[in-house]
Amino acid sequence: MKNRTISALFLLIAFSDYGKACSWHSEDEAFYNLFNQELISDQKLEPFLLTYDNIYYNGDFWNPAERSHQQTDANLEEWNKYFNQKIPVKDLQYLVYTSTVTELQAFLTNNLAQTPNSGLTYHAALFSEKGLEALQYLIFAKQCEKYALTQDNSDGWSYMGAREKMSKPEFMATAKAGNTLYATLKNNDLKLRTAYQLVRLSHYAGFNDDAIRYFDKFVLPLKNQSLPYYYALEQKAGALFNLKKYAAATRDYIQVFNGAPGRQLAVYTSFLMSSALFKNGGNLLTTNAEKTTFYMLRGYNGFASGISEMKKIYTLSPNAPALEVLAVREMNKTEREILMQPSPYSGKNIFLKGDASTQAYLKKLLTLTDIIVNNKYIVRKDFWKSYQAHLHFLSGNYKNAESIANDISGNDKQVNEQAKVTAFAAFLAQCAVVGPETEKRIYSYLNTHKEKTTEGYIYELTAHKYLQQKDYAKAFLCHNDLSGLYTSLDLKIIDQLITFYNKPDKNNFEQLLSAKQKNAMTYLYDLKGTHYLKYDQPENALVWFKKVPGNLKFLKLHVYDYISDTETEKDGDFNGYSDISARIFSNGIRPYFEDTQEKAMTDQVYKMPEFKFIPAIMNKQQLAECLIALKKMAKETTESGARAGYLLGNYYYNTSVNGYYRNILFYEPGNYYISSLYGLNNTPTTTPYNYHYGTGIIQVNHLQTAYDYYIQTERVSNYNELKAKAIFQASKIELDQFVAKQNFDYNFVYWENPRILYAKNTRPLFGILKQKYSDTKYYQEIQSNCLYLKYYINN
Amino acid sequence: MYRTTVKHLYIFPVFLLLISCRQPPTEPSFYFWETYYKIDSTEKQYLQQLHVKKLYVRFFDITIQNRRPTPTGIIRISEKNETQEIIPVVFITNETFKALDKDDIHQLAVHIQNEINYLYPIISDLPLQEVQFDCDWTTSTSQQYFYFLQTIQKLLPEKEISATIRLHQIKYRKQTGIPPVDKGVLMYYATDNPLTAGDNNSILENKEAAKYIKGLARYPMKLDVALPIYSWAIIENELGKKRLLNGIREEILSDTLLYRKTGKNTYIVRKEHYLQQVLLYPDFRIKTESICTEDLISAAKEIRKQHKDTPYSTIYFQLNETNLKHYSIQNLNIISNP
Repeated sequence: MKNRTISALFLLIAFSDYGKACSWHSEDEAFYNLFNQELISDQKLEPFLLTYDNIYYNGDFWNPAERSHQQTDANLEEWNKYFNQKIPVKDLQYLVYTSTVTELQAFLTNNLAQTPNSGLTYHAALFSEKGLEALQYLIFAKQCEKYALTQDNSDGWSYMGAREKMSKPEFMATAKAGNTLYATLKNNDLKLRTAYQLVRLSHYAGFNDDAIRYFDKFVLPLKNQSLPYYYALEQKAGALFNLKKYAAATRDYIQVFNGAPGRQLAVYTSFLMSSALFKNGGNLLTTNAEKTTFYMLRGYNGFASGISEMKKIYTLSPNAPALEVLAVREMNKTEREILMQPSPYSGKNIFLKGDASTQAYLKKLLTLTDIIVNNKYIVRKDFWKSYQAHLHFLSGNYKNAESIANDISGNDKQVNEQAKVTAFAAFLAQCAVVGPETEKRIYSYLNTHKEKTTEGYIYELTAHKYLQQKDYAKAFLCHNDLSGLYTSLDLKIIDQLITFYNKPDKNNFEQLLSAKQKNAMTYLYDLKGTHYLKYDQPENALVWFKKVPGNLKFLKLHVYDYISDTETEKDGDFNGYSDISARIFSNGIRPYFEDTQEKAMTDQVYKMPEFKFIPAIMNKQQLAECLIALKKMAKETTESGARAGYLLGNYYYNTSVNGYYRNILFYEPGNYYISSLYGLNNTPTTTPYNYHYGTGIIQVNHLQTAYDYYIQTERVSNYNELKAKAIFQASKIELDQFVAKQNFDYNFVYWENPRILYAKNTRPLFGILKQKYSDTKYYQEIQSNCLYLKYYINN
Repeated sequence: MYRTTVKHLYIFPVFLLLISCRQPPTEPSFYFWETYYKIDSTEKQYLQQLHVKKLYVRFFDITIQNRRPTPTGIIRISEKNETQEIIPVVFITNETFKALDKDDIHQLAVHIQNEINYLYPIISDLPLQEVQFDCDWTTSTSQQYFYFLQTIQKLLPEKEISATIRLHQIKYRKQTGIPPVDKGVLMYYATDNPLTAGDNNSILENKEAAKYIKGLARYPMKLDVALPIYSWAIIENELGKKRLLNGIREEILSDTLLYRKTGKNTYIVRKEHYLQQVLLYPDFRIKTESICTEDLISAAKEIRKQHKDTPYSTIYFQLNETNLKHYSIQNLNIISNP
């Protein structure tokens, strides 16, 4: 078999992936993690718990190798011990990591209190016999360093990070100096460090046999298994690997893993570099500790069968921490399937169910766990019982889960807490109905447990159950305040919320839900009125708006600044209730969303004396009143009636999806960045799992009504200027309706084939405009402003 | 009128004949896509007998790690190639361009230029002629990717810059755009996603691929063509997660103690064992995929038809002894000269 592997990224070139969102997505937050992985007994193994967001568990995103509980520098601690804590850590750091060979030599030979411009500080301990030996060693170590370290800032580029190459004479000279030093030094620890330097030097210079020889002849006889011993062993393992002695390399790496926790991640990285270690590595392992670590690392590979490796570890050593690590990882994998947050866009949800392969895997885990729990030699019985209980919960055996979990009450507080989480999760999952009794238990649980992810699970499931039992108000409040209704104005939810907020004797959980929204009744009346406005029932709307304070305002524009990553709040064009301009009855020839109202809405007909009842700035109640009055006027076949119809045409067009005031009925503070209308699936899922992602978007357009009013105006009025305006505005609706009917993307058609948009059958009203009103002033005005018309006329 | 038509009918086939007679057979080339560069004896034999003049060698990949573009899988070169012209290929994930602004892209281009200049002399003594980029860019990343290509062109002014073009980028070229490079390579494979393909062969379904290249002749760039000679196994673990294992064909899975055959090219693992570098456990599922010579001939004919009279070279993906032994030198010659 050739020792070359195809680039892993070949997988990626094989298919294109259109669907992926570009935003940051957390795998670890996409599910409800209810079983605490940190229950494992050996905290040193925490980095090996399951995470998909970081390279290692609890690893810092920007610097994955760093871990909170490994902030202590084991090497520096060894040095600290060496000097009997007589040198402050800061000075020690400089001495060991920062100082240069020249600095150290000057320091040593001059015996100065402080070398000028140096960070080295005088300490008596440094000039004791032990101290002087240490300085001698450090000078040698730093001479070797340049051959061992790659440049820190290379970011993986080999042209920047190439390790300095060592020539044979250089190697011989350096090794000789090392040999002499080793012979001279009296201190056993420093001898060990020197031997380590020689092993590393040989390994990196490519003299693998020498590396092994130095280890055997210089390291082993010292019988000193402090930290540098493992550093040296790791180097020897590297040399063995280069010599293709994989079994021996594996044995040494595993010993380093078990003996030097600070090197665990590095050792695993070595295993990752080549499958040869796993593949050929098991043969020379002798102790159970070595073998269990080996199986753990093999099971740690994301694609492995964790359960198979767990079985091997169990057979060897049922109490091995490695077994716990794999156990919690495998559990976590199934949680990611079973407790994945339900998607708002999919009708079929498998929350709490999972797919067939996950369920089959859970069965395998349960079979093994049953054996472990019944083994009388198991020390952490409660841990395994809580594990067993949780497996039952994930498998849907809620009664078993609850009874096993409720039976746990030992000395391990964390395990007891886990049992409570599992018991409650199982209790909730099996509740047929969420009634007052259940609400009482939910409330008391939430009151005593504050973990975010459990809380998320509780609301996810409770909201779903409420929805199933048609408790729309409570289902809604599990995840929303009233703004969750802006996009749908769903009447069945609004009505139930009114009843819910009016209910006098709310229990504790209901009070918790109702606290989601302050001053709820006012907003509910506004929402109900707006619902009717949206459905063009101004009389009904008026009933509810009359219960709302006339000067109500609540919407703000949130402006996000990408550079400074800050969000500021300011007044938008619409405050939610009371600042609607009378220009909602106006129009423009070519209004842009980003134009000011004055610039976009230039038509002045709404200002004529017969419309003086329209206030310049209205609240929604006044708007409803104006609509009622205009509708009444529009019934008359007079010039006033024609103009009232024209104003209504403007209103319905302006509040439609392409209209300048499209934001008003969707509670958006501005019409430009109108997030609720675009970029999301427009129709709510017919059977949502719950209202976690809001209540969906319900579009109600009255384009046909607008069109009919414009056509009526043209028919009734005797003034050609007004007729021309009405026909031109109606022709915009022709375009909108044409595009809406087509099954294609507007932009695509627009850029690909603009002719479609100017065709006679697409815009028949352009024909009428040209034929009947080409002598109007308005016709001249639009011709110079509207390219569509110009194109149409010229063709 | 009548006479002219006849004359045209008469002249046309002769014209075609002349063209095909005059065109010398084009020698194919290969992609080398592994992380350790060494050419073994079988591979050398194929290169020699097919008179291969160019070898497209993947130098490294660029991925996003910790939100920074990072080189991965940098090639380790164990010998110099003294026979073929080496064309460094750099694969860049589409995700990379989603994360970069203009300055980042410029910086990335400089890094790539330096890395190529560092690696190239290790593999070849000939002057560097061409550099190829491989990225499955989409509408949302085309601006960034094309800006990158323009930048690298400025950094390597004397060199030819080429880019791979996927099937969807041919068909939807108005949306995805045309990369600003000297020439392209049409990747005539990967018609499906291997992880979700179901019963289809995700490497190449000729009928599917043909639908994508109807407008090939109108693509405004010189295009060579890459054809698949690779095979792989799609392995599914107990939790339904899948991964690919390269170089696996059905005959490797003939041991009935290790595998139970469940369909034409599907298996279930019976016993824990290593298949190449991957440890397989009982209950893991396997599906193998490869392309037979006949399918490659049909593919080549379809491409010839759509490419009209334009000459092009064939590049096989990818050079590896285990792939080569399933295709004779003679057949590879026929496929590259349809």
